[in-house]
This record gives sequence, structure tokens and C-alpha cells, in this order.
Amino acid sequence: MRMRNKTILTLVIILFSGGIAPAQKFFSVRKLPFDGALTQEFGPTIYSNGIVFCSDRRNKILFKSTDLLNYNNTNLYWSEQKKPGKFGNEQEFAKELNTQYHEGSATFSKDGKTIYFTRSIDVPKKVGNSLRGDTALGIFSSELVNGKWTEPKQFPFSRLNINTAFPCLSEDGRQLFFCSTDPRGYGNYDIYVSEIVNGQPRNPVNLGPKINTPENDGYPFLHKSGRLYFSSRGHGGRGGLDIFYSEFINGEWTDPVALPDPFNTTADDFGLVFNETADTAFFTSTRGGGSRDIYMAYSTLPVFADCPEQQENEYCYTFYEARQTNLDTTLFNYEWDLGDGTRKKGLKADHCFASTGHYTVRLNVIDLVTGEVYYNEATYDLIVEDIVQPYITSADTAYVGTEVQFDALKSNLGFTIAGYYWDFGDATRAENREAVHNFRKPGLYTIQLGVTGAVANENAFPEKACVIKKITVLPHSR
Amino acid sequence: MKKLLLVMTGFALMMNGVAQPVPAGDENIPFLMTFGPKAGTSWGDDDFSQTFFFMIPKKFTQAIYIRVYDPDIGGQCDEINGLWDTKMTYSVYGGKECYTNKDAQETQPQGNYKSGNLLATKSFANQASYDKNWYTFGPFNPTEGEYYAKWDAYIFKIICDGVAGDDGNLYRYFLSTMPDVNKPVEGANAFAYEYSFRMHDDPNEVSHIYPFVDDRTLTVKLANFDWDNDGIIRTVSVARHGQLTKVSGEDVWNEDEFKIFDEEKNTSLDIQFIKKKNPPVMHNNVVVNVRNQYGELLPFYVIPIGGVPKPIVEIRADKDKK
Repeated sequence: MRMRNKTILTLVIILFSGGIAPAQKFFSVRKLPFDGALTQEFGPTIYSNGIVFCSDRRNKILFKSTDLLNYNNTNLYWSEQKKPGKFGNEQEFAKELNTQYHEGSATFSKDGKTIYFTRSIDVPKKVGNSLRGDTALGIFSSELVNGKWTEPKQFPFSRLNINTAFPCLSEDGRQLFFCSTDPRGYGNYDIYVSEIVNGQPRNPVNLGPKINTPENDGYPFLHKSGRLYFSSRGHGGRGGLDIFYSEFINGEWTDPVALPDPFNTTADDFGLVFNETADTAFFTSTRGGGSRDIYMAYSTLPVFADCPEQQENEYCYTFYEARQTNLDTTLFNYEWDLGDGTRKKGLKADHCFASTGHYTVRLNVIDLVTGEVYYNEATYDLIVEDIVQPYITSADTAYVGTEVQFDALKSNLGFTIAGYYWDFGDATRAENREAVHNFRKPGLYTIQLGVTGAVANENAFPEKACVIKKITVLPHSR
Repeated sequence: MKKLLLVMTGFALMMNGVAQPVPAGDENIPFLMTFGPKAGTSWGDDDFSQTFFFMIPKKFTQAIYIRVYDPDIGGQCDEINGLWDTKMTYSVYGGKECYTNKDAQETQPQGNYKSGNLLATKSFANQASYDKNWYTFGPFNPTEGEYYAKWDAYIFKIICDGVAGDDGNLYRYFLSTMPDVNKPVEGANAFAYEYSFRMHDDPNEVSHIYPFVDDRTLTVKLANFDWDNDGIIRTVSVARHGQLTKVSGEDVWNEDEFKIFDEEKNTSLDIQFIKKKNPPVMHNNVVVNVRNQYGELLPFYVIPIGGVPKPIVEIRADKDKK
């Protein structure tokens, strides 16, 4: 009975729960066009130049497949993203993988040639067995060979008496996150991670009580930034399933952080995946009024590409008299008035100004033969200014868990800056000229500052510029 | 076109000059110098003759006078060699070829260097009445000079020849509109192709002469005679802050040749004579001439064409890189 309930619950989760998403105010969301009002679409994952997702729509005209609760069984579908945000017609992802039972959320290796996906275990070969009551969910894997997916192999820890589902393969392919209703967990679905060795998952480990709760915790997604996004009912949030993230720091998972609007709502929001640059996400939500639909979250921030490394401002110059020829004997000396109160003698003058400004450099020529001094024989108007670039002022080194101040006050550009956009290199962003950020993991971070100018009208493109600066984040300070 | 404008500008400046003392103020030369022919050249005069030209713009139509300061050879200004026994003749020439005859534009008193019409001549010996006093030639109608169309001016020539004795004659000229006072001729100038002059005794005084470099000049050869190693001779120009030249010793010539920069064309060079401080050299006489690559002499204008050349000083700044 318990197992049956678990199975049912799994299906409910597959169909009614699910997702994770990083939410920030820099995102807008919209429902993808292929979501039907009477069908459930959920569990998107990014694959190739499109998304693979689950849907319970009928894929056979004459045959309707339902589970024990009379829910339609689900299959994997695919939709190509023709251009950013524009998707083509959906189609079955792979006929050789879909059955008349449940195929659920999937994950792919980086090369796209291995799939791990959720499927009903012990799928009967005959249609007449479609109402078997002992069907549980398991994880299966398959390889893409000559354009066809091989016969799926069952995840070794899948068992008939528990549900094992929602796989997520790390980018390096060495870790497989998944969920299980193993009764040794914290209750309902828990998230586990298994090391992949020689293509085989080993030693599943429960992520522990920071992540797992007595409620359902599922739909893990590990972004390349190191953030683990997942969905849970057990960490509070806005209601229903909400999306959280946590990071594995110093051997433990940090307290989950709920994503804000527009990711989490009072409805169920779950099953979030981010693209590599974390500016586009797909997730499932029931915010539309009952059915599970796939939403796309996209960054509203300007895109900055090929940002050069920030150059340090220096105000050092070498002044020299340019008209003296090699025919001239050194019977002269020069006295330099550098315009900031500094005077130097010599054929050349090396000087570093303390700050930007307008300096008038004057040159007195001393005739060493006659002793005469010719005052102000030449002047030079020097404008010392910062390099034309956005400029990040911050510490070069910081500690985990310590607030780091950033500002763009020393930016010097040929246009009036209307917008400041920070990317802290850990999938977090900020706006405004000044920002504060708290790094959660040690490492070398590439901070990006992009700025935009004002536009005269909405059809005009703003001027843009960006720089990057690397800072080192050290483990906790003592 | 730019060069032409420069030339025209230069001559406009020249013609607008108002001072005809020879030597002129910017030159800071105390006296012209000519020795009697019996003096050895070691006294500083290589040829016992000096020629100067005066240029009067055509538009100037009043009478002119050429005045000579301390024309005699004796008294306080001149340099005695034993007894005052020297005789000098000053001769003023005008008319055809007084200037344009090639011998007139050479350094040595040879050939037809006395070309043109002799307008006036006067010889002096030791005459106290002219000691530190003026003698005036003229009046001359400017048209008595040789008209030189290139400059639209009439040119007069005055030659001071040592005709007897061995003393040094130190003197000056002034081109005047008045016979008894020095009143400059507006727009006039004076020049020579070889300059024989006396240096100051004060080692802090720097004398200058200003050869004009035309746009045909590629190189110049600066020759100096009997400088007695009295310090340094330095060339300054719009493009040259100070180039030392080879200096002569006692009774010898020395010369230095150097290239002319483009920006120096149609300007004057400033040849500076800077005396050494120790030991001070007294009564130093020197002769200087400058030739171009064709062997042609460059004129020394007492009012330098284009003004006294001032070296262009330009500051540049390089931003230091890491």
C-alpha cells in the first residue's frame, strides 16, 4: 500500500509538481507555445538546440494509455528552438524510448550521446498489462548509436518497491543527482547523488537534512556554477512547490535559498534548468490555472559579449623636449614645471600625477653656456583622465561569506551611463552603480560590469560597454 | 607656395626694418674691423677690406646718407700696432653692377669688387676730429643705387679698404635720412657676405651674426678666421637648439659643414660667439663667412630676415606603460 501510494505520489509529482528555477528580478517569464490547456507539460531539459520535456498528450490516435489513477501516461517530446525564445512544433523525442507507460524527466551527457530518464519499471510488453499495480518509477539510461537510442538499461538502484526518478547529470558527467522514495531517507522524495565510475552509478548518498525534508524534495539540477537547484515543499517559500538553490561548500550544503519572482509563485513551481550562461531557464509551473505548463525565463539584462579585461588607470608620463636633435650638444638643461606643484630638472621628466585633471606643463630652458634661463619656452596642456572603459572598483581578494563592495564610480565613457549591470560570475547579477555581493564558494571569479547609455527612443540601440575583472575568493576568514 | 610666402614674409620684415646701424643691436657686435695692409693676418683681418651693402626700398624716395662712426685710425676706439700709421679709404658705389657683379659678392677684394659707379670716396688716417665722431657720405638719391628687381630695392655698396699701415680700424655705419643725425631709413637693411668684426672684451657678452638660408640651401659651410679659441661658436636656428662648430685658432681658418633642415629654409641662422670666461681674451677680431653647397656666400643681414631665430621648443608626453 505504501509503495502504491509512493508510485501515485511520484506520478503526481511528475505531473503536478516539479521544478526549480533561479529567480531574480532580472528575468521575465512566458509560457511556451506548445503547452496545451488540457494536457500536462513539465520537466524540461535543455538538449542540443532545443528542449526535451514530458507531456501526457496522446501520441496515438486510437490508443489511450492511463495509469492506475487514470492519468494519461507521459512521454518525452522535443521542440527545437528556432531562435531565442521561438520554438518549433513539438514532436516525439525518440520513438524507441517512449512506451505506453510513463517516461519522465531526462538528463543528458554533455556530448548528448547518453540519456538518463525516468520510466516506469517492469514495463510489460503487452498492452493488457497496462494497469499493473506494482509499477514503480526508475531511472534508465541509453546511448545514442548511429542516430538511434539503444535499449534502455535500468539504473542499478531502482527497485520495484521504491520510486527512483528525476535524474540530473553533472556537467562533467561524474555525478548523477536523482530522487528516491527510499524509506531510509527523510520522508517522501529525497535527493541523492551517485558517483559515476566507468559509466556506472555507485554509492548513492542522501544529500542530507539541509536539502531533504519530510516533504517531497525533487527535481535536482546542478548548474555549472555549482549551484544545485531543486524543488521542495519542505523549505517554506511562497506556497506549493517552490524552487530553491544550495551550494556545496566546505563539505556541506548551504541553507537553501528560495528563488524570488518571477520564478516562485503561490502555485507549484518546479523542475528548473538553466542554460550555461544562466540567462535563460525553463521550468514548470501551475501558475496558469491548474495544468502544468512549461515556462521560459529569460534575462531582461542587456547582453555583453567579449568584454575585455579591465585596465588599471595610471597617471604616469614621461615628458621630453621633442625638437632637440642629435646635432645639438647638451649645453642646455630643462626645468619642468609639471603643473601640480612639482618641479624637476633634466632632459626628461618622469612624473606620476596623483589624480585625473587638467595640468599645464611648462618648460624653462637653461643655457648652460651663458647661464641664461628662458622661462616658459614651451607649454603643454595635459588632460589626465581615466581610460575609457567601465571601471570596477573592488577588492582583488575577498573571503567567502564576507560582503564585497563593488562600484562603477570610476567608469569613464563617452556617453552618459543609464544602466549598470553586474555579473558576479556565480550566476548572480545586480544592477545599480554600486553593489554588494557575498560569495558562497572560494575560487577565482570573473566579475563583469556592463553599462548602457540612454536611448532617445525605444527603437534606438543603447551604447554599451563592458569589462571583466578577476577576483579571488578565499575560504572563510578566521 | 608656403616657401614663397615665407620668403615674401621675410623680405617684408626686412623691408619694414627701421634700424640701420651696422652692426645692429641684435648682433651685439661692438665694431666692424679692417686692418691696414701691413698688419699681419694674425691680428684678425684676413684681407684688409670689408664690403657692406645697403638696401633701400624703391618706395623710399628721400635722400639718404651713409654715416661712418670713428672713421679714422687712431684715438680711443682703434687698435694700434706700433705707431698710428694707417690709412683707410671708404668708397660708396651705386649704379649698374655695384651689387650684382659677382666679384662684389665675394669675400676677397679681388677682380671687379669695386664694381658700379663710384659715388663718393674718402680716406682717413689718424684724425682726432673724427675720433668717436661721425663722417657722412651723401646725400644720395636712392635711385643712384643699383636697382635690384628681385627685392624691388636700390642697393648701395660701401667698401672700407686698408690702403696703408698696420693698425686696426674699428668703426660702424649708419644709413640715415639725415646728414648730421642718425635717422633710420624705413624699410632699409644692410648686409655683407663676409663679416669682419671686433668681439667684446667682456666675456659675458655674446655676439651674433645672422646668415640667411634660402630655399636652395641644402648644406652650409661655416668658416671662421682667427677666433683665437676664444670660447665657442654655436649655431642656433628654428630647428637647432645649439650646435657647436669647429673654431679657429690664431691666424688660421677653420670651417664646419652641416645640413640644413627643411624648417630652416627661408629663415636666418643665429651664429653665436660666446667667449670663454677664463682667461679672458682681449681685443679679439674675427672674420666669418658662410657658403652653401654651391659655394655661394650667404648674406649676413644686420636685421635678420624673419627676425632673430628662436629655436622651437616643444614638449611631448608619453604615457608610461606597465
